[in-house]
Amino acid sequence: MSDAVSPDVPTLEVVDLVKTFPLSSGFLSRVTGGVHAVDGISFAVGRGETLGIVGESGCGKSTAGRTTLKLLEPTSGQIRLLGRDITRLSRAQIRPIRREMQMIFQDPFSSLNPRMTAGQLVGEPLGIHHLARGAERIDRIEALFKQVGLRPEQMDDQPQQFSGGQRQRIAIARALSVKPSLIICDEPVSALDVSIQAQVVNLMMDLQDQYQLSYVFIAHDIAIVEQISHRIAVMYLGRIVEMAETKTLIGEPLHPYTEALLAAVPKPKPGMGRRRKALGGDIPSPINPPPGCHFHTRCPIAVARCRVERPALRTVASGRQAACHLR
Amino acid sequence: MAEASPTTLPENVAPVIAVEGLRTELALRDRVLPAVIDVSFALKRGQTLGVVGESGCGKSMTALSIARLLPPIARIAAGRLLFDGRDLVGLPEPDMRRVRGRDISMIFQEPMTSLNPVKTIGYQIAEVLMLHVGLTRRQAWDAAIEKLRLVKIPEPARRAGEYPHQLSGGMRQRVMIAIALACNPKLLLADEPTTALDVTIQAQIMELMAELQESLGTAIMLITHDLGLVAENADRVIVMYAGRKVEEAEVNELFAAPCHPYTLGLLGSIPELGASLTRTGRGRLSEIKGSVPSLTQLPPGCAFAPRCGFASEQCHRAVPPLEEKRPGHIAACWHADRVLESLS
Repeated sequence: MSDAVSPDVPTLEVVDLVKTFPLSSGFLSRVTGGVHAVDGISFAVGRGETLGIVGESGCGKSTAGRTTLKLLEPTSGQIRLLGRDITRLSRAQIRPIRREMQMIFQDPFSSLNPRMTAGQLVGEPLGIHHLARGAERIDRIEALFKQVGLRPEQMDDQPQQFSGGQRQRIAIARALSVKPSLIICDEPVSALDVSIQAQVVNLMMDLQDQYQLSYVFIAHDIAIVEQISHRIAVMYLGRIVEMAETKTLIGEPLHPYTEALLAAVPKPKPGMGRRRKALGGDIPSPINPPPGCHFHTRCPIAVARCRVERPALRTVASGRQAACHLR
Repeated sequence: MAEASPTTLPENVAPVIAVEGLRTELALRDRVLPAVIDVSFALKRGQTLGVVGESGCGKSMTALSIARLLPPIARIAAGRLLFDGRDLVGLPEPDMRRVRGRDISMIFQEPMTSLNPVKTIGYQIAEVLMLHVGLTRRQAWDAAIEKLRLVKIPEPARRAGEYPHQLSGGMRQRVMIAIALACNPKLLLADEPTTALDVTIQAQIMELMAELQESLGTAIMLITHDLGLVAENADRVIVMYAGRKVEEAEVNELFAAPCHPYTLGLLGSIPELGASLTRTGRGRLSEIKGSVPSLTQLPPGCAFAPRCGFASEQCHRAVPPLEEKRPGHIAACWHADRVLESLS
């Protein structure tokens, strides 16, 4: 599939994606409203590119990832994979396309079936998509093991015999086995020790360069996101509030929330930013988000307009978007 | 008991807690594993000691040993825990209970599991005050509201009547701090206190802890895997690896001149915010190869040797002693001079 696509078509295009979860209450569980977990987001990811999505809990970044892969049914909007609209495809129609888009989850302890061997786990997608069998399959699994830094002798071991970092390597090998165009990674390194995080991030960058993979890298840790992403989108309560090239976003953030997020990260340099002013207030509940700009309740520069009017995500400069009335 | 490994506290100030040669063991069905091996340090009033290391390094076990809250399979096998001149090791449980919660308190990573879900938060703070300070129910409730105000919970009188599930994660951690500091403890053991929180909320909580520490003079043991948090909040730092203290220094000194290859590796492997600004394209992170050894298969010499780029034959044979490598800076490495040389 990927060979036939012209290089100009982005691997993934998401337009105005909305995902609402029904809210029910009372004895008969009547639907009384909806949570806009993802509230109209648009982005594109090119071949060989990483788009980082960063935000705090409840910002909808995980839901965005899952809805994009159609693990959750989108409420509205459009998802195009390699130029093909997959938004309304049925489960049966989507199955052959799943090959092109894989996912890696946060917790390598619960996302791998403990009853299977590492080799079976890596080889399973090859069987599902009828890509290789018998000796060929074993060869492929062996090659994948080497590629992600595991020893082929470990093929018969079970996931619980591996450390957290090694398990994430198994998950990566499994995702890679079907030669996807896109991998959506949801907090892939946040459960790992610092010294292991670096190994996994480096591995992911190497594999990307080698296979021109596209990544959507979802994480709460903006320093890790900066490391691996070419572009970054910042989400707050279901919306993208700023999106730009990594250097631009980190170096000259426009949205006050991006600024606050950057300022809140503890810097590993003693005496640098101690006793800095923390952003006040709590993250509002996505069930009942503030009107206007969702961020106005915590924003240090908010004015009356911010409390009533939702700021659109405007293109401020080439490749650079922000949703703020004042910037 | 063997002589305790050195610490670098000035002689003249009496520490709040002095841990000497602590050894904590886990008793499994067929063998005994050391979780904390010969760890010594001291902590003064108003000071924050950062304890860093990765999973299984023994940092939490050290804190649980001090609070005498070890899980049933663990026990203190050797060492002394001198708190206010008294050795907590061997202190009968009823006496220990009076110390815990009043003089020594703890905050854990996940506030939801440390709070009682069926009691109001006001009651949970008041309970501590009734138990340790002897306030009446009425007095304790009023004091609880005051404590909630102290940790900056909005509308404290109304919030006091709420249950933990009605609060956000950040609010729950504030309540935990209110409970922990209710009796003005001398020592606060904070084990990953902000790890479960969002980064903007984490900044608020650390700011709050620093403020309260300033006004109450509490000594804080800040246990975390986050070197950024340590850089900003600790006065001194201990680095632990596979149950041992491998390095200790004042915070600026440790970050400027790490003497242990593990510390050096840790510092290198954290992505630094803003790193993209000064380079073209994406950089690689420096890695520490391999993984943290399991307690069941500790190598005979230095536990870090199998992952260490500086390791020599000696390292695989003998555990390096903790020695002063620079003024006030101790580390356990046979090749600290080479590590320091590599910095320049």
